Amino acid sequence: MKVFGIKLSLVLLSGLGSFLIACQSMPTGPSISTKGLEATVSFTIDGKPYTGAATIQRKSNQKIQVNYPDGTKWGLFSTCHRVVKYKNPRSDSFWYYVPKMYLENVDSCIMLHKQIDKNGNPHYAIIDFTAGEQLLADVSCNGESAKQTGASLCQALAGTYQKISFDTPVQAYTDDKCDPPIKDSYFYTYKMTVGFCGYLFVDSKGETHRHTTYGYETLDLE
Amino acid sequence: MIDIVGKVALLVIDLFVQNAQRKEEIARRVMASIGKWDREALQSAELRDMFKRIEQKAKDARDARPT
Repeated sequence: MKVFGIKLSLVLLSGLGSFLIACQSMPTGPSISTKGLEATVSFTIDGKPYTGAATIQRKSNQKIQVNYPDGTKWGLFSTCHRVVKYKNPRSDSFWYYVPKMYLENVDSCIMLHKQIDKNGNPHYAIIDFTAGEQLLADVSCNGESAKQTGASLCQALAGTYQKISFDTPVQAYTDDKCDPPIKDSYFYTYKMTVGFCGYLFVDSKGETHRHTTYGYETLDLE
Repeated sequence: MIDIVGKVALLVIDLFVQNAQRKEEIARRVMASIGKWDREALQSAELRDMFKRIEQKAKDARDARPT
């Protein structure tokens, strides 16, 4: 009887051990803050592929197709005007985005996308649209360089330095909460602020370049 | 024999408990993430406000410049 009791105890202990191990192996995600996670979701706009963040020429009708891995629980979109939600989106689902006149087709009106994966973790994409600005800029962002007309978007780790340059002298303006750009002849450097920031560059003719920055604190490695 | 049956029974119970806890944890995370979206969704409008303020700064600077 005593031997049986010892054996039963051992069985119970082994069961408890496996239960504790199982608890430890449950999925864990990064610590998310509203403004802190890198945007990594890949998407296509009218068939052209992008990853994470991009500035797109605004059109009256654009087919937006986001990559939804199997088991995605929610696909969420927001602009300066609306919020759209899709529960359990299919991998081939898409959205014909028609910007609302005088609301979404003017000024800054970025599109934010958030998707919640099968483990409940969020992932993001940011889409910026040009709004008639004309000034050409050479944007050096997170190791990449690109010429962008009118508007541009830079996503990089908060606290890193980025650069934007122009062919002609420009004046730079930003908000008080953003890191002020430092001028060096025709180019400016600035430090990435956490979250979104705006920079406006104006040349002597009044042409503008609208530069949006998104500084993240947490890499999305999933 | 009793050992084996007992172990198997405990493992099966463990699996059920583990699965239920995992589902509960995922559901909790989804709800938390959706809850944050209420605030996050406003960032586009807030950025637009920021650019409006910056444009006003640029306009003020231009108006203040001697002609």
